Order: sequence, then C-alpha cells, then structure tokens
Amino acid sequence: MSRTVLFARTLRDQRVACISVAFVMALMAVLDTAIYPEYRDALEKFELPAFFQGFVGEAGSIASPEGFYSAEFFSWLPLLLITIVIIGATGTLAGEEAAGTLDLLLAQPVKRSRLLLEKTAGLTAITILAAAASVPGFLVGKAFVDVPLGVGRLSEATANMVPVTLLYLTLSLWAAAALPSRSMASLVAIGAVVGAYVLNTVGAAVPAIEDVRNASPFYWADSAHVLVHGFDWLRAAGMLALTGVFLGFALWSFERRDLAAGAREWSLRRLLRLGGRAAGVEPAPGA
Amino acid sequence: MQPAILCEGLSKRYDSQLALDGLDLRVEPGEIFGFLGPNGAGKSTTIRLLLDLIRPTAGRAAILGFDCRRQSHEVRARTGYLPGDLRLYPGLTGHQTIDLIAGLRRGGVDRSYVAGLAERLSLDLSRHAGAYSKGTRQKLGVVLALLGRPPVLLLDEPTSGLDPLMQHAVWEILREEAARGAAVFFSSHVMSEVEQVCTRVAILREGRLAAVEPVGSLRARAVRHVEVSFAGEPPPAAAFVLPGVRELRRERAELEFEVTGEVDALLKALAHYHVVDFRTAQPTLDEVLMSYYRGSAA
Repeated sequence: MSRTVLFARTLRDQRVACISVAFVMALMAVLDTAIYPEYRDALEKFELPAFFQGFVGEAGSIASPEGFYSAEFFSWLPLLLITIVIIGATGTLAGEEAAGTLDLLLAQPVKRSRLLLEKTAGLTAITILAAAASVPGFLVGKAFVDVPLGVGRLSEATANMVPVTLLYLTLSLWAAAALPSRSMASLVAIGAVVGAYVLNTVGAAVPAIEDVRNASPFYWADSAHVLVHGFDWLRAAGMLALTGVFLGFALWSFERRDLAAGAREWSLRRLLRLGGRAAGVEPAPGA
Repeated sequence: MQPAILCEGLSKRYDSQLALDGLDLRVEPGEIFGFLGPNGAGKSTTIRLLLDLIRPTAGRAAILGFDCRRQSHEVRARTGYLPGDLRLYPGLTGHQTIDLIAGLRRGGVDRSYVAGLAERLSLDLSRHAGAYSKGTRQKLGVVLALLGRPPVLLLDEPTSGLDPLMQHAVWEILREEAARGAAVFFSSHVMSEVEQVCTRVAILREGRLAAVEPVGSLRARAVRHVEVSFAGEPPPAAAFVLPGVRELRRERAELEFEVTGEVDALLKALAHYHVVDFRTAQPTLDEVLMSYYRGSAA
C-alpha cells in the first residue's frame, strides 16, 4: 500500500489551478517590478487617501518599494491563492462526496484521517509551489530595472502569504467536513475571507474600529511589516497554530459523521435543528 | 467457525425515518447470500453500515470477527465493495482507476488475475471512465471489488446495467470466489438472479428482516395456484375446507384453488373424486417475494 497515493492524486487534480496561479504570480512579479521606477517618480509627492493607507501599512509611503509591493502585489495576490485553496479544499471533500467518488476511496482500508491529511498535504504543496513562482518573477524583473529592495526580502514576504493561505485552507476543509454541501462550505469560507479582509482594510482607515483589526488574520499577515522588518516568525507561528486548530476541527467533524452516497440533502431548518452536529445526511435513493 | 458477516440488532435512523430496524444476520464463509428488498428497504444502508461509511444508531456488526465500527480499517482490508451507483473519476482510464484503488489496498494486486477478469468481462481498461457506459462502469466496479481477492464481497446490485451474457459471466466469477471460500453478500431486487446464484436469501421489508431462508424452502412456502378439471359436476365447496387451501373460482367442471405451502392435503381430498386434469405451476420467486412484501408470508 503506497502511503502517498491520495497526496499524488490531489496534486494531479489541482495541477491546472496550480500552474495557472503560479503563472499569474510570476507574471505579476515581473510586471510590478518593471513598472516600479516609473510609478515611484509619479507617486513621490502623492498623498495617499486614509482609506488606502491600510494597503501600505508600516511601509509609510506607496512610493517606497516596500509600500509599492505591499499595495500592488501582496495586498491582493494572497486572495488569489486563498480562492484557489477554498475551491480545492471544498472540492476535494464535499465535492468528491457529492460526486460519489469518496465512497470508492473510503471503502478501501484508508482511515478518514489519512485521507484528509494527505489531501491537506497536497493542497499545502500546491500553495507553496504557486506562491514560490513569484520569486523567479521578481528576479527576472530586477534584471531589467533597479529596485532598492532585495529579492531576499521579497521572498520573505512571499513566504508570509503561505500561513494565512493555509489557515483558510483548513477553515475550508472544516466547513466542507461539517456542512452538508460544497456550496454552503464555500460560502462560509469566502464569507470568512471577505469579512476578515474588509475588517483589516476598513479598520486601517476608521479609528473607531482600529482596535478590532487584530481579529483579522490579514492584520497579522501584513506584508508591509515583513518587507520593512523581515519575516516575523512569531506571527507566522500564531497563524500556523490556528491552522492546526482548524485542521483538528476538520478531522473531528469528518471522523464522526455519516458519508452520503452522492449529494447530501439538507434544509436550513434541519441544519438548525441539528445544531453543531455535522450531519444533514439522508439515505441514498434505493438504500 | 467465525462468521464472515454478523449483524446483531443493527439499526439506523435518519431523524424520524428508521432505515434499518434491528437486523440480525449471519453469513458464513463460502456462502453466496442474497439480500433482497425493494428500493428503500435498507439494503444499501446495511452495506454502508458494514463498511463504516455510515454509523449505526444501535446494534453492532462484525466482518470475520472484526467490529465494523471500531476496527473498520481491518474490515475494509478484507472486503471488496461494489456500490449500487458506482461513480468513477471520469479523467482516469480503467487502468489508472485500478492503480489508484490498488495503491490504497494492502498486499498489492495480481495483475494477471485483473487482466483475466477484464478479458472475461470484455472490459477495455485503456478508455477513460468518463466514456464508459453504465454497463462498462459496472464491469470495472466488479473488477475493483475483486482487487486483492478479499474474503468478503459486498455487492450492491452487481449486475445492474449488464446484458444477460455479462450477467452470467459475473455470476460465474462470484461462484468461483465462493468456491475458494469467499463470502458473497449480494443485494438485489431481482429474484431470478438471486435464484440463479444464491444459496440463502434474506428478505428485507421497510428496514425489517422479513425472512432468511434457503432459496428452495422459500419457494416451497409460496402461494401457488392449482386448477382441477372434473369428469362431471365439481364436488361441493365443503370438501375443500382445508388448512392453506382457498377456493378461488368455480366454473362448470373446473375449480381453481390458492394453496399456501404443500399441496398434500388438497391432493388427498381430490383423490375421492374423478379428476380429469390437474394443473399447477411452480411459483416464481418473484411471486414469493411479492407475498413477503405484501406481508402475507411474514
């Protein structure tokens, strides 16, 4: 019995998404680096509106290389990575269950925990590979223009995208394991991302809610902080610890519930009645 | 001897719906056991409980002595499964699907055995599963269930979608597996195929076990129709007030009876009269099944 069949299968399933995101990452890294000198000259005396200050953070000015990369690259590309992992995570669990292929896998001598962990490992590898594609993009860009920011620091900011992406990966897996449909799991995960992102950016501009910004994972994944001070191991460790907690919840939810043969039937009323119990499973037709 | 499959008070409830109610069952190694019932009777629920895909509300089940809940990993290592509605990865060929499932099983796979099965079932493993017809998917499902030649086979309507030639090929394969000692648990709602293959049969009705019998004795207990022609006027009705016998029709020199179980009492009563003709048909097992579903034989 091979120990990595499901890991390899996940990589294979997600290869098109991984290559596409990696391509966008590398391309944007080249383009942003190439346009920076012109951008800097144009923005040197530009007063950034308070609302957009959140995208620049500790870098202070959008004309600085730290501020520019933070606003133009690291403010939105993590969202692309997170979107891909939400699609992958909900598809690999709730999607496979609805398609009926999860039955085929779990009728074999495979523990549910092993299936979930191998799929998580596959999606983690895809996240790292796709994020890492931006580093050669920075190198190519810097070969043509002079940017006073080392590739090492840009690589650290790239690595900083990974923990927050993994946090939403495991949150999505938990939602997919606990909720009765893929669309519902996606909705919850996307809602959590949008809510946290808006809280962080709006919190930077509105003093009244500034104190609650730190409830957002995006606050702790601030790329400007990394570009200015270097990789923050403590913040990354905190994010990874929360990732571990969500993974634990996902394992617990997946382990204790019935598997549906095909799409699970559910209703809001039924879901509310069940409360925290992960269910919503009806017998398959012909059961 | 350790039973291949043992269920004790196995129950499954989905909210207000009781899908399986206190199932007690024992299947021996080497036995082909038919599990009959209409759609929704609880057949698939039972198989999914045995594989720990769903969890029982009450009772327990064991396969070869391993508890289906606590030792499900050991159970699944010894079980081949064909779901009622087999879904495959459309982007994988038959070969790739076999490699995927073989990679999840212990002990590897006998490639020559798989090639032999594919040949017997006229299965092209080089095509993508997405291009397979329902029957071809089912053939691949049979091959997947037999990977590693497990000692217990749980097959949910295995010949569904197959043409008669392939149905016979599958039955033959299952007989061979039983002959080498495997227990075959065979769910179906088609009585004729159970009659062809199975030694014993359980009938499930609305989640409850209605009967467990050898196929032969099930038929012997069935209701059959008997038509008798007499030389003259038929005897009075009072002559046939017998246990298990009911007069259905009386026409000139003919009587028609419904007989439950043996016809001995009726034959002895008829012996006093001049009988010209006596006609009865062996009841089909579908008729037997229908009598259980209606509850008349329960």
